[in-house]
Amino acid sequence: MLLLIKKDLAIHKLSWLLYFAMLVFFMSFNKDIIFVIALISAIIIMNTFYYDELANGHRLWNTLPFTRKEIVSARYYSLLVNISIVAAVVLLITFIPSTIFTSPPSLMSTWEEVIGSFVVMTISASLFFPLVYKLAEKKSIFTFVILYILSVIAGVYGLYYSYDYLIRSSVITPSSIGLFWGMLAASSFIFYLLSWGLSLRIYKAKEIL
Amino acid sequence: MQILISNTSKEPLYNQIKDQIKKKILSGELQEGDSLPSMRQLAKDLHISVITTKRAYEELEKERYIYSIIGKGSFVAEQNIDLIKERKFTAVEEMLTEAIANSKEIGLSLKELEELLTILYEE
Amino acid sequence: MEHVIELENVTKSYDRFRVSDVSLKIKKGFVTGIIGSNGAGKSTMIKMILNLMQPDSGMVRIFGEEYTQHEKSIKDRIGFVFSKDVLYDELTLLAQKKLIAPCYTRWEDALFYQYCDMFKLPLKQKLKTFSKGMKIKATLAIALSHHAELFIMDEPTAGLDPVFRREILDILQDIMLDGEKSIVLSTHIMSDLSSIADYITYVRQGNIIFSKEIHDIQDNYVVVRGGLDLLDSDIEKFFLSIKKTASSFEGLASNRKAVEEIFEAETIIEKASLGEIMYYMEGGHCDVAIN
Repeated sequence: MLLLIKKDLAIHKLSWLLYFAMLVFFMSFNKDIIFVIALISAIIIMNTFYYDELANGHRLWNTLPFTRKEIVSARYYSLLVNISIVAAVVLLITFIPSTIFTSPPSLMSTWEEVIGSFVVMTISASLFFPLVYKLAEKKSIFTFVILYILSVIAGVYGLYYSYDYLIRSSVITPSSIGLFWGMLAASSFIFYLLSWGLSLRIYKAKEIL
Repeated sequence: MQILISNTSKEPLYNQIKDQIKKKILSGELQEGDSLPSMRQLAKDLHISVITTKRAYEELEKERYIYSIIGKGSFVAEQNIDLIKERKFTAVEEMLTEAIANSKEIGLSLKELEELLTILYEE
Repeated sequence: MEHVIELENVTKSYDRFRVSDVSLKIKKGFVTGIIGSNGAGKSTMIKMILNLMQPDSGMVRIFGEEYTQHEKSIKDRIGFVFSKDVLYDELTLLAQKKLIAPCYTRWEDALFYQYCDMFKLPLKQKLKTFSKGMKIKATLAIALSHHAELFIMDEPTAGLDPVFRREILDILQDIMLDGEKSIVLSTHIMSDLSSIADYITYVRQGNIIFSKEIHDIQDNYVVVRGGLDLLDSDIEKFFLSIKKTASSFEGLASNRKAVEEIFEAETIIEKASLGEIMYYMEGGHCDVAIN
């Protein structure tokens, strides 16, 4: 299993530099870090699917000594690993005192943005992973990649503006902010676990061509 | 050990192998106790399937030309060469008698028959 | 364990295609060739053997064990080669090896480098620069480097030139030397098989038509050519398939002795090659299954 997670990271090779460049690029334009974390980790995880599909990876990894359960679970872990890596890099850059990367004035505090990106990523992954396992092929995988990334961007803005609305209409008060994020994170994680179970079921029955 | 096989021959491959090994034993080229190549090695050398050499060896074993020890390989068995030669000699004698009888029926002279035999023998 | 692979009453429906009630046993220590035209079900069977597809009903056992309990240990002992490439184009062979090697418990780096050397494979070039033949060699090198006991190859020689095919067959014969390993390969290049296969399984429309020793086939299957006047309905029963022209016929029979007795010298009777057997069986008029 650990091997599969490592492999999910390793197949990107030099693309990591590109991801880093994109990350720096967006941050230098003072993009909100919720946006940067979510977008970059969405690109990375979908690229993992993309590379695998191009290489007939289902066939390869299912013929190697792994169970289907491990193959699916590894991908669900990989997403969490990806967000953690990206978030760590972003936070690191944010904390470096510099004139290029000034944190833009934001509605959310840094920790809110990190949790927010986690929420958006897990919810959209929960929706997309089972679909990708069920439907994606070599020909259609690129469409899934694009749709997923768009949904993440939409998710980020959706969350941002809902949050804005909830604050202004005083549904969320300064004292209930912690509770709000806690509930949101918990429920999106439960949703992620449900999706995980569903993907396991789908992949178990998948015909690998 | 040199064995030559023909893929186009009507004779099955395992028979070709069997006959050539037999010949080597009878001619003394292979002596009692000599080891034969493993059937897998022979199959590889001849570019044929293992089961073909396996069958040739099995039949040679059945006819007591060779014996196999598991894990060690196959060896030429003790042959009563004199007995085999004697039997072959009797067979040749019988066939020649028959050939002579046929020759007489169609009036072939001894000289003509000798010539024919010489030609066939040298072929 | 006498059989490395056992399929018992396996049924699988898939698209418009059906493998029905197939039973097959593959002997340890031998090469088994699976033949059949495209779409006959060879690949589906191989995929069920590798657990890439699961049968609707029936049992698949590899090394006497089932995938439900021993998936990882079974696959650890299998080496595979597909004609479809399964490597990452963007990686070098070395990087690809680094991903795969730790997955196997008995991987041996030295072996891998030895095969790469033998196959003249550049370790530090991206796989996308490899030709189709090189990619197959690369998968073969991987398959050979982890002390697998069972090799499963789906069309390993498809699209390769003859010299190259000969090389691969030589390597396969090398593998077979110790008698502990088994090979299953599907192919439609019949000449490859007649030189190394010990058993031939002929698949047609999702059924196994026969599964026999190679010399059983070579000794008994014949193509008979003769005049039409020799045929009558009783005699036609000896044939698996007959093709007739205005004055003559050609037929495939699986009982050489019987046919030789009937026709004696009036016909030409020749050993049928695997290709000929398939040609007559697929295109012939009679539709007889033989055992």
